[in-house]
Amino acid sequence: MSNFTENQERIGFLKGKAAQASGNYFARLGRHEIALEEYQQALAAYESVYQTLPDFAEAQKNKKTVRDKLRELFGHWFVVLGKWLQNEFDKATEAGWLTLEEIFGTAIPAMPRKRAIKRAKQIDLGTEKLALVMDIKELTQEISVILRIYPLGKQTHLPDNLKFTVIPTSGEAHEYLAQSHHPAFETEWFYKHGEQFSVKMQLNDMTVTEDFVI
Amino acid sequence: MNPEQNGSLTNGHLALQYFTNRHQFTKQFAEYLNDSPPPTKILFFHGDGGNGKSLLLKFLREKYCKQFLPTIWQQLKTQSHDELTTAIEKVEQYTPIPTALLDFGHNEQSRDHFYSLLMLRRHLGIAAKKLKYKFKFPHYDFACVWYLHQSGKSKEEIKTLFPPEEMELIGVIMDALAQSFWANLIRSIISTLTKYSGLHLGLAWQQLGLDKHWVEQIKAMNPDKALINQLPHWFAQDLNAIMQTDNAPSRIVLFFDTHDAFWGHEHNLPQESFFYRDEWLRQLLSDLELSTGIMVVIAGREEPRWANSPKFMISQEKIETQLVWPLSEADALIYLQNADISETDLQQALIQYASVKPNQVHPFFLSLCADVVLAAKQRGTTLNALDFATIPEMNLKSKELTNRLLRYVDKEIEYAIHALSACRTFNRELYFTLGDALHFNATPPTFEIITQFSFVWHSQSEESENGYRIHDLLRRLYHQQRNVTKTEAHGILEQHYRKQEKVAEAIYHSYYQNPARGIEEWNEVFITADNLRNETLCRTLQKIRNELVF
Repeated sequence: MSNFTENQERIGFLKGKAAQASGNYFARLGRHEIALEEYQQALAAYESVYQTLPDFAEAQKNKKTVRDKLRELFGHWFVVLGKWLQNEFDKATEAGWLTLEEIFGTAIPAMPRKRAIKRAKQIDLGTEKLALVMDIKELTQEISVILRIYPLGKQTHLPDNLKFTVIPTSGEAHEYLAQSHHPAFETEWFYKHGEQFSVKMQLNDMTVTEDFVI
Repeated sequence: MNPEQNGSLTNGHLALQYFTNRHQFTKQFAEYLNDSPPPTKILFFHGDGGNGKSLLLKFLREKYCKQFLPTIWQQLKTQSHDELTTAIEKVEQYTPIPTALLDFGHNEQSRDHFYSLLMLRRHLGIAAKKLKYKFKFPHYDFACVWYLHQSGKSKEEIKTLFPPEEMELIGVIMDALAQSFWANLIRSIISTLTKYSGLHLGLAWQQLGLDKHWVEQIKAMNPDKALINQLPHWFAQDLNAIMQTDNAPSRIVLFFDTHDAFWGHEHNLPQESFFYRDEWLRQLLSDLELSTGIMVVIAGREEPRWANSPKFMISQEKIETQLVWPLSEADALIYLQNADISETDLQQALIQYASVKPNQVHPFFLSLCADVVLAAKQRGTTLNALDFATIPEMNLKSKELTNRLLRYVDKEIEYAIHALSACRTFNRELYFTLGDALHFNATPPTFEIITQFSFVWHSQSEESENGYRIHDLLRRLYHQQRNVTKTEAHGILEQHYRKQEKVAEAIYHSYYQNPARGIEEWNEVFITADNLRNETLCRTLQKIRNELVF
């Protein structure tokens, strides 16, 4: 706390505490979706303090508390990618996130990137079967997430008109349209702990959405 | 009435006399009230701050809530917009319509999903009584009393929240609740309501539908997680039922002003937090059956985004949005003539000064211009067109006009206005408190002068008839300026509210002296309130936080 003299950082930290307390309040009322947004705001505020004052213990402690709370509250419906980094896959497996072998069998597509954690899930869009692959890797200050999508079964290319949208909690959604006869699609995103995003896959009138929290 | 002697143009009732234009809105409003079957859309007026939306609502409420005989209406309807406006005021044979107005900008309670409904219920009760109707809200009242009872409120506290004519009923409910015996409770309620409504017991049972099952359902609900969220539903259900009784008015009008106050200056909220703010309102509106004659009129800066809300979505087809645009030059001229500003060159100069685009005159700027001319006249200075020849940038107009206005008022008044800009709302008592503490000469005549300026608005709450607030455009302007008087005023107001044990209001003023101190105290008080399940304080603090944007 001795370095904690700058008013700006102090206000930033206090705002984080206000958002954290508000998250607890909304969680108690059962308004989890609002609690999630408050917790994310708290994490962003603590993260900002951390950038200037990395040794500020209370901000670090609060950050951990918020992350734990997020996992406790949202682990059951969000895919918590942070757990994967801790080698915990129980809930992921329950939600259909399996190893590449389990999804692709022997025909695993080539996917570069060493020491990254890779899991895949079968996505059914009508008669089309696809595999969504999450490839995550912890970097110094953020998590790199590569999202890949492949055809499954006998198909060798992605279906025409497949729309793939990455939706952050705040900011604009990014929509991609699969190119005709393309064998796969990939996009890389960078997130901080506690951040949430969704991935929507749409083919004609069929839509599947997966929600993630880091 | 000579505005020169009153120094006011747009304030309160006087403003209504100078209300100009808006004939199209007036006609549309009259059609909603008189056409049969009733239109089933929500009327939503939107437009930039200062465009006169609040004044329009006041105007419609005070002058046009009239229902005419079908034959008279058919004749009126054939007239042009302008003719109709005048004709409606002249027709003497009409049925007055019960109305209630809730201004979300008034304070945090007016946006609170518990207290705002209670206010609305109270206002409707009072309006109905004035017009000799009997409005009963049995489900809402019971659920509300049960919620307050569960929150630890005393019988006396609860009784003060309801209209006076409901005192006996509320007392009976409370006594019965204290005995925790539902049969006695129901018997007492029915007996009381039977007495009020003249219904025989069996019919009252049938009509009220307060049966054992329903009461038990209410009592089993978690007050803060479930019950409170159902109150808009029961309010709407009771109001729908009222409108279907034989003696009901054919229309009632619910006015909601300053819809944008739910968000204040926050524009980039995440989706869930954004839509949570007015969730109770959407639920209420979704459950109201407008086909029964309930009319909803709302004003706000932006068009509602309700069609995108994840809960209680209201589709765009159910809303009639109307842009409230600036005045035309012709209407601005009428406005100035009404205000006794008749010199042609000066009129043109003021219109140019207050224009935002060609032929678009900003009502707020125009009223400030007129205030300046009249205030100068009162000081013996006659302003002419040359005094308004230099037109500043748009964003500087409010500041420039206010500075000019203050030049023509006493120093005491200038000082007082700076101090009052620190208040969220103020009344006579607060004005004198600030005067005492900050050593300016607060007198009844100076208070009258201040409250008649165009940027000072009557508070739209029936609970505080004598409440005022400074127009948001001006408060925002003052917030950006460093002013010693204003900062000192925040200190005085903080102490004032601490003495009154209004901690949330005290924190608000603490924040404006020292943001870190304000947020720190907010955190302490909020965490304690959350731990103690003090839901009212939690909600109030959340709204203060929203307003301060932290």
